[in-house]
Amino acid sequence: MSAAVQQAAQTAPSPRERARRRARRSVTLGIGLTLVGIVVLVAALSFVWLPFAQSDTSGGRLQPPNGTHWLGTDIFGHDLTTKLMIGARIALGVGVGAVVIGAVVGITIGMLAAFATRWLDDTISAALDIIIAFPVLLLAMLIVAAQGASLGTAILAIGLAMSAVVARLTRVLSKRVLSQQYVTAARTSGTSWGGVVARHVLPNIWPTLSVNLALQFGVAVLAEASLSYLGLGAPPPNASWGRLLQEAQGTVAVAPVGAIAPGVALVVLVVGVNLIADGLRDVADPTRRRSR
Amino acid sequence: MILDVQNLGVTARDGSPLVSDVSFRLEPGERLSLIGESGSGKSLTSFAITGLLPDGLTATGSVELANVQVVGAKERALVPLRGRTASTVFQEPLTALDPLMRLGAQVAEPLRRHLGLRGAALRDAVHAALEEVRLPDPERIARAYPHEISGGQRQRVAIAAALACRPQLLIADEPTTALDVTVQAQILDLIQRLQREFETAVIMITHDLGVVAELADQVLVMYAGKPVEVADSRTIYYGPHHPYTKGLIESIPSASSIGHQLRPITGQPPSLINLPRGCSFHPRCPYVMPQCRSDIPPLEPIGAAEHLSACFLPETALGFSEESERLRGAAAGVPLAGASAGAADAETTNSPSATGRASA
Repeated sequence: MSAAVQQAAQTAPSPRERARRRARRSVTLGIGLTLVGIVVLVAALSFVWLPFAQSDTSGGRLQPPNGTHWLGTDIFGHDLTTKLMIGARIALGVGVGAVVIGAVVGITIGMLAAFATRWLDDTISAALDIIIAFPVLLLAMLIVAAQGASLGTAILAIGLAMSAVVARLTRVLSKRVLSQQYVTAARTSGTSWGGVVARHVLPNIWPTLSVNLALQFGVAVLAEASLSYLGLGAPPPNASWGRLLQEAQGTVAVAPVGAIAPGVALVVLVVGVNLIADGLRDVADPTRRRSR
Repeated sequence: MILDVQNLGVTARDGSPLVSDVSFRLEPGERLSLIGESGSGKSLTSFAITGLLPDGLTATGSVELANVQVVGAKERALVPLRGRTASTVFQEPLTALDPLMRLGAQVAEPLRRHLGLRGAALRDAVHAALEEVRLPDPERIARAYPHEISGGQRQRVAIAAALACRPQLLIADEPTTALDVTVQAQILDLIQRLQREFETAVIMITHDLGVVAELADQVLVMYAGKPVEVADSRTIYYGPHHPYTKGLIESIPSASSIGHQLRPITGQPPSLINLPRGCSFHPRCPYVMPQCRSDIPPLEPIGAAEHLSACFLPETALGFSEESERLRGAAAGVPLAGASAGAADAETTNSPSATGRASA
């Protein structure tokens, strides 16, 4: 163990301060934040500036990358850079939206199960296990098929499908916290169950839960790309990366950039998010850090 | 009267009794000790008093806490009492504090909820509570997290939180078991000082009879979920009637017993689901009589009015005198004096383990 760590132990900083120090040292977290940061910047930029208008087809079909069209044009003559930038917006929106829905629904159900009587808990847990046995994509397809394809439906479907995983994790983590003596102590000092959840359970499950939610973000982005690829995602003119891939599929031999560019964009975002999740785990759990 | 417990019982989901027939009363400033081995129902009794029994357990009988009936009461009626009228301090000061919450916030919790303090008034009250338990530099402690302070300091913080609202009753569930001996004494002194200062009634749950000697007026000895002897602490020490109490006292190591063999109570406490017939203690009792195997001895006054014991031995067989020992021996039909019978017992139980060790 390094001298810096020993010194840190002596001065006994708060857990939060120590987490901050570890965060500064975590290379994984740094790379992840950089990759996701690039996508976020591009998405933000797309609101104020685009190289071409979305409907502009003046460039001609299937142009290779050149000075005016940096990534060339698609089969309709749209500028690919423009479509890719708008795609970043959609990818991030889907990720955030799905994670928020998944977290709210999942944490609520999981907490309910943790507090429920044995019979109800068993029922909820069995239902969750069955739902989790289906791939997120399949569940999302079912919901989209019932609701009709739109960006909102896609987000809702992915979020709901993800909520089962979040619920199961929340249930297990909460049960562990609820069995702790500080919960009993809080109860004997007159804290209501609501107070116990807000002040003790949520703060104590959050470090683990947040890592899982970061991972789910990546899953959501991929799920939306897959839905769009299958034509079940955001309908045109929304330029989802998944739909760009699908549109470029037929012309991949003549214009490979059309397929490569959205593919690379997806990889950058998903890998970035996963690296952040890994980094967060290292920060949240000091025992996982290897000594250097 | 702050607490009136009458025929309190705790039953499991299947109806088997885990605690039964517990009765006692506490006036402000009085100190009661519940003693007994692990699993004798001490902690369940304390949980029943604040209406916080674990899921699936139900209380029977009557518990009146500050004139509120706790048994069968609605949760909403009890929340205002917990931490305000009755507070609890637990055994493990590390696990009784939330690792992710600043200590100040944890002490502030009951003050905020019960007394409605906010802002600067709340901060001052927290610092005052921490000063009360003789913690150095309350401002620093209030900002610290549980892992940053020592075990003794954590228990002080837990006591500060428990006493912050000046409860009329403090339930201390083995508050010193997890601490060093020197720190134990400090914590006991602290509880005693605060108890005198605020006229708090204290229920001390412990298996450490040294704690009882220092910190109890009344003692209630429990065995297998039932009270077996009730008396003031002096009587428990010098004139116990029930063989279980006597065994507990005899198994305390002391300076004067150096060189002598300790006399443990042989065997294990019975399973509460499958209690022996008659007196629950009879399989382990050195003075067992035929009657003990069939009838359950009632908890009845013996000699002094305040001394209750659930044992068929003659009323005059009190304490450790040779005369008492002779009386017990005669009643139980033990041919020699009880002391040598006990020693023989100890030898027979020790020898198998000794040979086991030699062969291993």
